[in-house]
Amino acid sequence: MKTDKPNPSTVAGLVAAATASADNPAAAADAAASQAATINVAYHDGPPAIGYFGSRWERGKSKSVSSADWDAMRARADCAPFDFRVV
Amino acid sequence: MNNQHKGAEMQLLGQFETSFRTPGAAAALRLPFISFGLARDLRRTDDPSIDNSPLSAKSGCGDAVVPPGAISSTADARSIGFYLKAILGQPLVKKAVMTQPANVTGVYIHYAGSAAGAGNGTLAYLIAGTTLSWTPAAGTVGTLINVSAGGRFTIPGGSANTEVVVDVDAASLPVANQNDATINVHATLKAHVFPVTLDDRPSCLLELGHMKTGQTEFYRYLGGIFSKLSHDVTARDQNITLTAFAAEERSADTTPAVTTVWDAAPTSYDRVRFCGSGGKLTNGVNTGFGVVTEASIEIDNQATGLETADGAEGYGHADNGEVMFGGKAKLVFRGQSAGNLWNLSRTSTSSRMQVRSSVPTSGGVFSLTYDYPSVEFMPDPIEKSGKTGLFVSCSWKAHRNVGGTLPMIVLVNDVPSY
Repeated sequence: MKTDKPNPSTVAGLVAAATASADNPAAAADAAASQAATINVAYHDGPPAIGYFGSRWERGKSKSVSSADWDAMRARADCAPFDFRVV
Repeated sequence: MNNQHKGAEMQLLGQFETSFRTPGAAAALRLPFISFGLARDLRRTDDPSIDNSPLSAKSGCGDAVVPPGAISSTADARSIGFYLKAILGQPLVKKAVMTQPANVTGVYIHYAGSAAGAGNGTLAYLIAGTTLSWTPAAGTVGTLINVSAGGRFTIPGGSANTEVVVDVDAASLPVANQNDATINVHATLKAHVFPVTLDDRPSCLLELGHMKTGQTEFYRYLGGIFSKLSHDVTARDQNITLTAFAAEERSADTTPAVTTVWDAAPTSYDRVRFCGSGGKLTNGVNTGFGVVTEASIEIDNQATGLETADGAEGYGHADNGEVMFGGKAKLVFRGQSAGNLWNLSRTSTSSRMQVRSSVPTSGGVFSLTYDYPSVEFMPDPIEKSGKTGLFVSCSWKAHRNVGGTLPMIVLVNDVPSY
């Protein structure tokens, strides 16, 4: 029976992908470094508060996310309309 | 241990597809719902063969479908845009106009162009030439437009995409020069303008998830098509009822199987429910319809699912019919004064009609306004019983007119796009 694969654009997908890379130490180290680097981002258009990518955001207030999560957030089709930006 | 799934642990995800049955990468929206009536009908076939047994043969496989089912939800001013897009198509994003003219009578402003400046603009009426002009905030005046014929007009600003789109009731225009200098274009609220066409409607993925920890289970519908939306705009509890069908249902028992949530981090909004007190049904100009006590609306795009020779189960094609806008209205019975709904229905006289739901929020008033250029009314028999006040009711239906002006459907809220 074929099963749908973990979706890489979700938090769960990222966790699954990280688990899968555990047999490759170099890749795992890269992934860990990427996760460790954080940047501050905020959204500037939309409701005063939204649930997005697994957490609650307030418009104009920045949150710290990993580079990998920032990449995954921007990969979502509904990211651009909220005007998420690095601040 | 009680492992029963609880209704309160369900969640509904929705996401528009890039093509029929193909949702693209996960970017789902959590949708509020009260009940969910979509389910796979296996439609197994009887086997009439005879084989020396008093019992019938086991059923064979048919062509499973997800037939039309009802979904109900609170009338949430944010997520209702998802359903309107599903039923009517992709809306244009314009700027919300929060103030209607007071001095320039007979004019209703639907929205402003996407580049109109935020703040107060000026709408001016000149009796000589019967013209309207529009000067957006921090902008310049555009070309004067003759509105003597009445109907729908675009009044341009001095630069591109700064216009306002208005409906004009020529008989109610001022008798002298007038202007309104406080027509407020909101800085952040959007006016989502839905199309009325026969184009194919966008299909969507819907996923009903049972989220009980340790025993999650998912029913995923691909090729979801919405055909109806109905709404009682005067009810105290503001709900909407929808009808939808889908091409196929996937779950843990299908091939391919669905055992994980479609989107583990869906986008979600706080709910803003339309108020019963915000419901309004008028002729778009004044109170001439009479004292309306109940008003409902139904949109029906008459979409039906068709099984196709594509080697896949379920509906392979959604066929759209005419777009129908109809509903009911009830009003205090005061006889047939000219222009009231009862008079219009008894004399088969069509009229413009505007149906509006709204709710105040800290960020401004959210609203959903349907403006129909031509509506016909069909009277119900008057209930002649009891000793208290009498009411009359009628059903209504929007119809085409010689000018070809189509209904204007505008949702104002803070959602950036659908």
